[in-house]
Amino acid sequence: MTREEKQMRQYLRQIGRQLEVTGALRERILSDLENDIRAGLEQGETMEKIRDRMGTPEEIGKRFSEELGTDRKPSWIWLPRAGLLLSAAALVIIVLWSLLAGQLLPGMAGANGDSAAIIGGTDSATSISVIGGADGPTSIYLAGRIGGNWTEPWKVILLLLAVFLACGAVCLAGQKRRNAAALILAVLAVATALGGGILGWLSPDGIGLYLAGGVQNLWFWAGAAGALLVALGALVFVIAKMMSRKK
Amino acid sequence: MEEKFRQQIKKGVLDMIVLRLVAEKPTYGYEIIQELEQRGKDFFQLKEGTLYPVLYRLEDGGLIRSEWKLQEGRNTPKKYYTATDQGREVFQEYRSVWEQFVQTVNEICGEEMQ
Repeated sequence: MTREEKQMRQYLRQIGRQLEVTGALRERILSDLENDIRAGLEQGETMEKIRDRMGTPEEIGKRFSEELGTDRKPSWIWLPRAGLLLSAAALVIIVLWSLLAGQLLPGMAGANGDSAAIIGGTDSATSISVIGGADGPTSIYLAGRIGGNWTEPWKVILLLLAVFLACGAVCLAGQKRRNAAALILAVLAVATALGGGILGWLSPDGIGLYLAGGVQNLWFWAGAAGALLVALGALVFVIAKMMSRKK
Repeated sequence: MEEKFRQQIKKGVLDMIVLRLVAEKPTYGYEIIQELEQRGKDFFQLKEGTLYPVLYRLEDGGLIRSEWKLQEGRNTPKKYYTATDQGREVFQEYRSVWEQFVQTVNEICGEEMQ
């Protein structure tokens, strides 16, 4: 490969990264640009002159986007994408970990024997008592404490899920025909964050599975507040994008 | 202000002009840009990002088509755009519309203002 050829390939790669189109259209553009560059080289131009004439990859990408009418993704799109990846990874890890410790679903081996914890459990402090229950108070705890270790991972799972949904919403926002989906995701994110917070409030025994010590609750509430903030932020962002498109 | 006006009227005729150039002879992007620089005076200093969307629009509409031709002395084929029969017909229609348009605009704007 000659030096010119190498420089051409590099230039085309850089342009490719700036093109906000995919698939067939992208190949079409890149093959046409390569055709033109080769024609220029044949006419005796240097790659430097060609780059000067055609412009920087950013300029080229911007002009194509303007003329083709495609939405350019903002440069900070990496942030919600990273958030999406990280929260997904964390979710997978926690779900697997909980399954291995038998603590994800009621009735699993490690769930503290509280498989019957929801209704009429033997441990009065951690179960919702039903009228006529054998042990403990006979009134129905309206704000009853949901017991059993099986709920513990869910508090964190819900918070992570909220962050995941919020990042997804931000990634989709502003794209043609995707605003409805973005809005749904953002609303779900807020609901999930609230759900995680409510679960934490109903069973404030800390997330004993993975954090020991008295600061469990503080970390949890900080996380819950963070997740809710992220979800609300995503919702505001999606709505703002929808309103700006309507202009 | 004048620059914006130029941009606007340029946009209106670009499809017709590019179609004409492709109909004259089989050609490719860079060559079209060079032709327009020479023949278009100051009006048509096009960049690839402006030209190719027009070519793609014409091609998708069946007015031009592209083909790869192998040439002597070259080891990679070169892509050429040519006009289809439909494209030539449509160009004549565009030109007729354009001429009526220019005449009308000149009638309105041509006379000195009182």
